[in-house]
Amino acid sequence: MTDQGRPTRREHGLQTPADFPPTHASDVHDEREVLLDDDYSDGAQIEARSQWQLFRRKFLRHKLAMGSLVFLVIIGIGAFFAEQLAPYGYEEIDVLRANTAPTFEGLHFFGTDQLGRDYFSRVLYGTRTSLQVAVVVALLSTAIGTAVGAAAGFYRGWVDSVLMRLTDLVLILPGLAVLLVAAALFGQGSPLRIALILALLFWVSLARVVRGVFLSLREMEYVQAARASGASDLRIMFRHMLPNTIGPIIVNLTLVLASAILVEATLAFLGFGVNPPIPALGRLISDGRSSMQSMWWLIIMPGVTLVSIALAINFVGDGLRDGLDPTQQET
Amino acid sequence: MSTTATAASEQDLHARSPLGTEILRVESLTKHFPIRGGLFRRQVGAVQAVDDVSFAVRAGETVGLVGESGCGKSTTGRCIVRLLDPTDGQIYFKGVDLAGLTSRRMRELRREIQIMFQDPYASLNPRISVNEIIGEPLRIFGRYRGEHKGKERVAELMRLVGLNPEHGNRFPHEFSGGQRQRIGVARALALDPQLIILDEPVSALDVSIQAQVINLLDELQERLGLAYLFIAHDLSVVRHLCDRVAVMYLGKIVEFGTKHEIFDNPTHPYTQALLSAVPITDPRMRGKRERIMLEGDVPSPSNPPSGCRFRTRCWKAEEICATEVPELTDRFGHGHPSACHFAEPRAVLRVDPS
Repeated sequence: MTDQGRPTRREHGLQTPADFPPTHASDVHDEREVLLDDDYSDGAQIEARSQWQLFRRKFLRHKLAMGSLVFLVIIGIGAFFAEQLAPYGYEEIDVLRANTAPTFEGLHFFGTDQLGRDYFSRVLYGTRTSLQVAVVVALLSTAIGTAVGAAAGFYRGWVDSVLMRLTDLVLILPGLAVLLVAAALFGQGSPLRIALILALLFWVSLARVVRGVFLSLREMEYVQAARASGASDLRIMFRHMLPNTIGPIIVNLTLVLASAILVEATLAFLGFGVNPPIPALGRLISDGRSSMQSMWWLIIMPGVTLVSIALAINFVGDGLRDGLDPTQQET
Repeated sequence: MSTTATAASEQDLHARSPLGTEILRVESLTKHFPIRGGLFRRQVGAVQAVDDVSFAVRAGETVGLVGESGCGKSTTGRCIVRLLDPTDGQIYFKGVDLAGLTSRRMRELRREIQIMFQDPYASLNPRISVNEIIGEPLRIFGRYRGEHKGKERVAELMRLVGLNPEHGNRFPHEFSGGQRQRIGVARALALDPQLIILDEPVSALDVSIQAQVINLLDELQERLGLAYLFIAHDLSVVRHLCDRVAVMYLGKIVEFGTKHEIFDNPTHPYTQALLSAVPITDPRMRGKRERIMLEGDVPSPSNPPSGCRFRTRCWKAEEICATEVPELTDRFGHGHPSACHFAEPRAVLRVDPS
């Protein structure tokens, strides 16, 4: 090694493309000044942009998502404080005012049903029930799906085989039939139970998506680099892989949120949802169906509420996905 | 734990070795990737990516590992940092066999052997800022918080590789390819390693940027006394940076020697063919040098030829090449082993101006 030590390093002269004048630390520094487009060396403070700030800025500029978020927040607050905000209780019967079309008189904004119950109050309570179910389903199924998919994609081998066969099993179940049976067996009651049953069926698609992303991410060089730095499995998963999976997860979350509302409505429509005295949007539509020709508001009011919530959730999901992608340029 | 008994004590492992002493010895390293097939996914064959490879790296030197795509260079590098588990063979870091270490003990030693990757776009996590990327190894080894002053160390590392520490809050996509490789260098240096595996660190860069990164690596080696295992297929870069060079073909080292021996005095036909393909920069000399054109393609590593693996494309091949594997031994007493039955020096790079 000594006989061909440093002095002979560059003796091959012009043969190498690398043969620019020797660079020293100071040169490197200067060249850096040229390389970077903006120079802050005049003492100007650069604003440290955390990922959160970047995200917030991008999300706030996404008008549709912001509008939808505002709408959802209003609906959410309205539903959460239904007891305080609703002009009537959901079971308050006033036969004298039955079958009223929407009117401001007596604050029956959405009219009343055949028993004279205030329909606005019922829709408000129904929204609360539906949202409760949807949020629990979305969170729970996302947690299960992410965990299952991450474990399968990260560890591969037999862990993957077992988990994916389980996923396949759930996937081939005829969803509605199982839901109806399960609802008939355990359901017929609290929104939480309905939510649990739904969540146990909804996690599969996310599990597959997350597995796929993890399988490709684990071969990425930055994951290899983290491993070579001695990072633990958990650190690699949570710090390097999950953040890069957040897009698909968020999109899936919003899809699940929207479809959970719709499926819960379907269940309720078929008579297997939340127990009758408590209104749910699906049950309202189902109950209103018989007299929809004469009393349009019985279907339209809960229906429009249902659809606009589902739409707004999807828009917010769009905005979240765009905002969470740091490589996407702001426009 | 017989290996550790003879090995240096824990303290010595993390202490810097004097320049020139051997810190890494790879012995008969073998990596076969199983090919599975059939109904029960039984192993029906193996891709012999690396087969019986041995070499050593000394403190402060650069060993080049060259060869065509798919010859097992990168696999060798990844086995050394245990990103892949070797099928067979030993990897001694200062006497401790890395191949047999538990993942926990290996973690301890990872800070002495770091790796830098080829692709400046894929090797940095797009979701975390440069500060966090460079600081991550420090955090993993508990050298970030408190008195370790991780923040200052990260700034120091950025300055060391020629980046402005004020840009630490930026994300990888806000940097150019060359700057990203500098970030990769800074990350590899964070734990103050003794050996860095450079897995084609400049192949993805523009030629002018290659020069900057290579000069940076060169300077850092001089300043910090690092040893490099430089994996590359660009011979001019290897010639510029390396002290010793190993030439690989189809999973085996065919020739190993000092830079001068390999470039001026190649004895293996494959090395000669490889060198004769190096472009000549002087236009007047063009066409005056003999070129060795190889016929055919590289055989499949899942079914390598018997005997010498190069024989299917070698103009010197005779019967013995198919029956006997040529040993990698010093055939001319130059301290320059060559794995060919008919090895002979031939100055392919020399151009006769007449």
